[in-house]
Amino acid sequence: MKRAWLTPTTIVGLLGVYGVLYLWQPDGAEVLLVVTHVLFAACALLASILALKASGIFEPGVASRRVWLAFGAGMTALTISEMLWIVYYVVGQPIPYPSIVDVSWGIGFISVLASLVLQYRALDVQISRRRKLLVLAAYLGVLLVFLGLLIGHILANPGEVAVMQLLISAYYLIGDLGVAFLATLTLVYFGKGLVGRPWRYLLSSILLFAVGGLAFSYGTWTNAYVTGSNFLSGVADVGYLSAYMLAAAGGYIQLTLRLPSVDEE
Amino acid sequence: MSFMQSSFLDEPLDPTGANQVVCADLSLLFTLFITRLLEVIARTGGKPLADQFAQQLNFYARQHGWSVLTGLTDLTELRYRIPDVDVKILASVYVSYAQYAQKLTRQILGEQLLKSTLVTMLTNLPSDIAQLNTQYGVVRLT
Repeated sequence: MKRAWLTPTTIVGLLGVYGVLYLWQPDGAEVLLVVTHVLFAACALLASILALKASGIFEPGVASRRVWLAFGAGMTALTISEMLWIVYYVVGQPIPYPSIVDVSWGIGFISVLASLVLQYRALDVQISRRRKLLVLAAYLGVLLVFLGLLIGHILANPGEVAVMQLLISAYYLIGDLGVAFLATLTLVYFGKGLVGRPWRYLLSSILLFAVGGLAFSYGTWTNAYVTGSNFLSGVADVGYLSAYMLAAAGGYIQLTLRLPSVDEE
Repeated sequence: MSFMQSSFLDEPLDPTGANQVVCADLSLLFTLFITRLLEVIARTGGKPLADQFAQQLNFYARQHGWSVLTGLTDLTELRYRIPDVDVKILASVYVSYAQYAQKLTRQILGEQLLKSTLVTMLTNLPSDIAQLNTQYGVVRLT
């Protein structure tokens, strides 16, 4: 309880260091690119290990155990995807689209999203209709704004975006926001409860995946995405990195949940 | 020793016997309440958190005269023995411990999950135990 600030401070500190490296690029853009993807893989691996370990603190048969197993499995697939990207890079092979990197990322992300849906269902979340509608309206608003921007860009630049890319981006965006909606309802249900703490990190992680994914998609369509070259690429890279870090933090918080001792009350 | 057995006796009881029956039923109510909270905490926060909750509740009970009042070492002993004390004293002890348990659970589960847990538990109580709860107010929704 006394060190509740430690995890967010560590994350902000690490992101700050990465941000400085991103702007400074002491060894050039190529090194930054490799460092970025190594960090993605390392944080995804950490998230995967911690989530699988967190599943172990629940009795067999308990829904929360399956929730963390699904989250851990998803993160494992994302780790594999990030590692495959590094392998492609090291052997100097161009990555086709879609490639095995995209496929394993897509599979992993389904498992991550499924874990949050499972948590919502297992809890039998009971909150007022008014609150549900408020949260729904907020997410629909965000979704409409982003979809409007995407459609506006496509109409302004016909032929630039492949249908496949558009569908995949829309799938991730709707999936992310749909699951974030359920995760938000879960968090509202938990309120200030201790058991909601890991889910605050996981919800933030999903939202940052959505931000990173959108920036990445937009950057790819406009050929603007080049690590270290502009603000948009920075949003995509920092978005993904912080999403992986927050996913790892969620597992860590779940593993270290402690009641305040009597003298702390 | 069985908790339930005593409630089904039809023959009139002497005051000591009647006191013991109510003590048994109150103990059953309190045990059901704590067990339910432990289950929900273990399900949502994990077993270590549920163990901590049990430890902290036992610590509170030790600090608030459980052993002196009942002669039992800790709350887990309720599974095997029923305290034989004045029912009013035992009821006030359970009310106090239940309030502490609720306060602790509110910190762990949050207000809404706690409330839904209590509603479910109270709805599923056997009618005689539910009546006893209404009389003594051990488990309260507020």
